[in-house]
Amino acid sequence: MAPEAFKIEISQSTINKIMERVRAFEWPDAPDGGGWAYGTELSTMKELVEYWLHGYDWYREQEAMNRLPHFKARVRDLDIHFIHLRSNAPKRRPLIITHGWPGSFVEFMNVMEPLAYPEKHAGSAKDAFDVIIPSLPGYGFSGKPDKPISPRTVAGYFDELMTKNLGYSNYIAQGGDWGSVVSGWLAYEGKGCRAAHLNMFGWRSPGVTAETAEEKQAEKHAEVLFNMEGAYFRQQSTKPLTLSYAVMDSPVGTAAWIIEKFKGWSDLDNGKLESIYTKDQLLTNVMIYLVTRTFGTSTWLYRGLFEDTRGAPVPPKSRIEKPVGIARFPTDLIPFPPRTLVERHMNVSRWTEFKRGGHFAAMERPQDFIEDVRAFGSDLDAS
Amino acid sequence: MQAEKKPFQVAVAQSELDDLKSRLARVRWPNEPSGNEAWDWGTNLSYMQRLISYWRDEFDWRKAEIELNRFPQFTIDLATSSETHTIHFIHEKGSGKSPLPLILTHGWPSTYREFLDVVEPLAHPERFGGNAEDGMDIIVPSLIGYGFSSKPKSPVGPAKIAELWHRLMHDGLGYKRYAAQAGDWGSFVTSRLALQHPESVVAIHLTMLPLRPNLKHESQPPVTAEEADWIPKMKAWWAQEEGYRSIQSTKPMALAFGLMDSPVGLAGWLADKYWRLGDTRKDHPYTGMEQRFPMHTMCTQLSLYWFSNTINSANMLYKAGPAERSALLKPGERVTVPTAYSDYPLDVLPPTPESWGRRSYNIVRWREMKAGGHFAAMEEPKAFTDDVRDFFREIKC
Repeated sequence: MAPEAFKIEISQSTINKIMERVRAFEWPDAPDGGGWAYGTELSTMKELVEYWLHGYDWYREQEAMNRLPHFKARVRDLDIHFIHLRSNAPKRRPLIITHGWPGSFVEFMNVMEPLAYPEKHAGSAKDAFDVIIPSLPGYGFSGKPDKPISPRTVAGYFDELMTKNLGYSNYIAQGGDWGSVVSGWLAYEGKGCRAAHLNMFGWRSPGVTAETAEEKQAEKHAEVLFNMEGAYFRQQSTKPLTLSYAVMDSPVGTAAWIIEKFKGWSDLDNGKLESIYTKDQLLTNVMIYLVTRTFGTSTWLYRGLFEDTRGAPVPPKSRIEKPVGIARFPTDLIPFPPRTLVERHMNVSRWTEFKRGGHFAAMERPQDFIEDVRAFGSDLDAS
Repeated sequence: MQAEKKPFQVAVAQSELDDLKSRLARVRWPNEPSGNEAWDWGTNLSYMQRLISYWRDEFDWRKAEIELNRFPQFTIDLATSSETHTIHFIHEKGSGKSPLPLILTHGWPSTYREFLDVVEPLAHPERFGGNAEDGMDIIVPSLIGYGFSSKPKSPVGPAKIAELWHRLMHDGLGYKRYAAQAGDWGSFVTSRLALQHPESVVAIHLTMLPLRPNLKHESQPPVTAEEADWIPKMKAWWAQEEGYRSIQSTKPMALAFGLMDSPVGLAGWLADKYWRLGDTRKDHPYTGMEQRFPMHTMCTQLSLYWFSNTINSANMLYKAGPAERSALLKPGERVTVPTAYSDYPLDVLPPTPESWGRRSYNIVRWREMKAGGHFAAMEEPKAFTDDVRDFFREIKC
């Protein structure tokens, strides 16, 4: 079915209801001198809420988002929302970029146009991609599934979107966070996918284990990090609904739950969020969850990961054989392990190590992100 | 200087009640995955909708206040090197010539309300067909950071709370010898109390055994077949259930903003534990739950958290507890005070092997209960009372 043009149009009453709650918020007690050690820092939230109330303008942000061409397409049983930029180049080089949790298409606001129209952004026209940026099912303006589905099932929706709805038979998949898992599945079994570019180690081959001392050390390090940082994962992958009552009923609660991840997973100067992010960026990403009421369904992917086992079993040690470009950003929650280990999971054709940057690479290091994706595209053209 | 106890009554301002109602009226519900009748994905939506409309439209907080104020309550200020804590407690003097003092400590996500139905029967058995000489002086405190006790400036763990309990009992109330009973976090505090003050604690009665031996130490006998079967089952159960504990012990402040802003969120977060840990019939989304935990009782518990603004300080116990490392016994360390353990038949948890309990406690009585779960004093007040009274009668003799 042909996609239909879509505009973001949130009613004033919806915005008012959210803002009334933000205005009425009463601050919780925080342990003395706790900073971020106990979770979201009180003073950061106070500053953010102050801006939310007195500086932030949803309609200014909505207008900026609506300058981009949004669409919705019916894929199987769900409407999938996506931004679609068609390059001016004669040759079609489709690129689907998938966000993760707690992100949204907003993560890619500063990279999508340079990728689609490099000739206008200090690049060469031959690097142009057709850029497709969907919202995951249960996120943003995409439809909400009836029950949790897995990243593999999501990849099935996106492959169908690309090949059937948009007619692209030879696309590249890019992603971090859940997007890296979905993109991994697209590269593994997507009918129209030719390659993947990943900025997180999400997709894993069953049965592949750490072997060298260096690999084992990375694994150990990841385990320690997960014990410190994995609580959200444990909750969202077991009892997502138990959490959602509180987070969905409180806009400030939603912001606190999400902002803590931007703080924890980003490469910040002196730990300051504003060294990398504007408050508008942070709040618009939060507002996407609020205006669409998708916080609850966004957490379902964590549970879906374990329960939705649709698709043929993956034989132990199967690799992604299509070319994979790896962009390793050092401050990600759990950075890529040594290349030797990643090679056993996938056919790594490009490996770039960056000196700075974390989980939200396209927001944190947009230029690095753009250049690496362009370079990966050139590699593929040359091969 | 001896700290003095001051009388206390529960009295919540009408404006607080009105504010709660307006928040409950404007709830934004999450979507529920299909197939959540058994709460598999978390707190069931149909139960929540019934609970929230009851809390908003039918719940009588003033009636709950009268119930809570039926017994004499006090506060006492106890200064420590870092700050002064205010401890709130019920103190009901028992019948008989020499009532044994008994301090009962609740846990999370509960409050001192948990013991409300057993205070009178334990203090005055003769009013319930028992013997006045079995009467006990009943002390029911609110944990630090819970209910009407003060919120600590930074989280305080069970070993420190145990010291405060001892000062309350020994210095504040003048009891040279006393007994203690608890489950959940209360059982951590009570176990520490027995470890730290064996000279004053006559005996303890627990419905959970939180202290863990260091299995690697040579003093420990080898793991039995029964224990070897039980340990992985417990670990597997926790893997499914530990989300709340994991958040509260690492990033409580990530959650606090939502829970403190939303009574519905508070209810969703807590009700999940009553369903799972209570001995609730689970063949229907809410009938068994409502039989086990009547709406009025649930709303009293939730309201106590809400009006006292304590969910965040209460959750912090999960940060303070592990940080204190007071649950893992040092080599050779063991509770020497006579200990009774009553195992309530939680259908989700495999029963604790007696040999496991004996590693850490001087178990003098081990009993399997027929019904009731994690909130035994609320769920089965009669059986709970009889069980506790029996044990301490034996101890007194």
